[in-house]
Amino acid sequence: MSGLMSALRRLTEGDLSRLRRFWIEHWGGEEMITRGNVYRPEQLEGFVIEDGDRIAWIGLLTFFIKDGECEVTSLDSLREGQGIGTMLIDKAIEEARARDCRRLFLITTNDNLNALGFYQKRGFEIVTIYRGAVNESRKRKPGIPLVGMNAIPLRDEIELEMRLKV
Amino acid sequence: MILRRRLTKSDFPRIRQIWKKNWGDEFLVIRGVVYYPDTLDGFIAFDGRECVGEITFAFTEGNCEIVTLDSVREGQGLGTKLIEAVVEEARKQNCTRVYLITTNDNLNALGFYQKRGFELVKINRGAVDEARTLKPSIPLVGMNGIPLRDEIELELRLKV
Repeated sequence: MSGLMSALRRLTEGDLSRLRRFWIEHWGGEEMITRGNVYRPEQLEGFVIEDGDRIAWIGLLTFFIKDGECEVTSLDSLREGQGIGTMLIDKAIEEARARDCRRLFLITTNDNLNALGFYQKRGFEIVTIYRGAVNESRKRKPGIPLVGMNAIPLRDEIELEMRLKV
Repeated sequence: MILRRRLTKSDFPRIRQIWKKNWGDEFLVIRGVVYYPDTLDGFIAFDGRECVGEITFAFTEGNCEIVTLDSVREGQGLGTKLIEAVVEEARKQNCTRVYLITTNDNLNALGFYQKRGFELVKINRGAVDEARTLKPSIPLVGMNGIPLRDEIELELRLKV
């Protein structure tokens, strides 16, 4: 994986338009809504993993640090089972620690069993279920489907966190 | 041909066996309450002489709680049929909802019930750690390599 490691880099301003296109392609819009907060690419920091030729993005994580908390606002791996997601999360944990965050957290949705498994396996704990929160988000972002992954009605937000020792 | 019938007293030894095999003991601890098969209502399914599934439940104050659901044949609709039988029973008893508790590691259950109209209600953080003091056979790490720690409640609202 050392080849991949060398291809992990921080997002820069020059990546913005590409980041927007990536989100539109993978998340159905160029903003992300969690708990009623709207995040746009220009507000966020992030890491990207590029494939060997440095052309294709095969992994992307964005985050937002505020008041000693680091929120992971998106995580994508275009190649499952190759440790790309793990590598990006590890990098985010390292970053949050380096910047003295008390915790790292993220919002996923009730249909996303993969995410619930992925994060819990990596030390995150479920904190709260915000019932109906996705229905609220859908008012602002009508592209959010009614039925999500695994044929499950898409309705709630679920918060997961990792406490960091300070 | 799978036949389903109401649990009777004579089934309790068998249910205890199934629980022992699938749930680690002859009793369950949910929200700090200990459940034995003998105090529960339920259905049991047979294919010929072979027991292929069971569902147990209890009525409490207008609610119906599903306590266990076990099916030895995944993906053949047996779990769905057992759930439907309980929902029908709950309607007859004028219950306002059917609910159940699963655990944070059980992604299968989270998928299964949500696909069948159940909604997430809440998470009781650390509830499994509490249950473990009453039932030490509950493992520290559950399914999917996930630390087993919380109880998650799901419910199906019934129209009255």
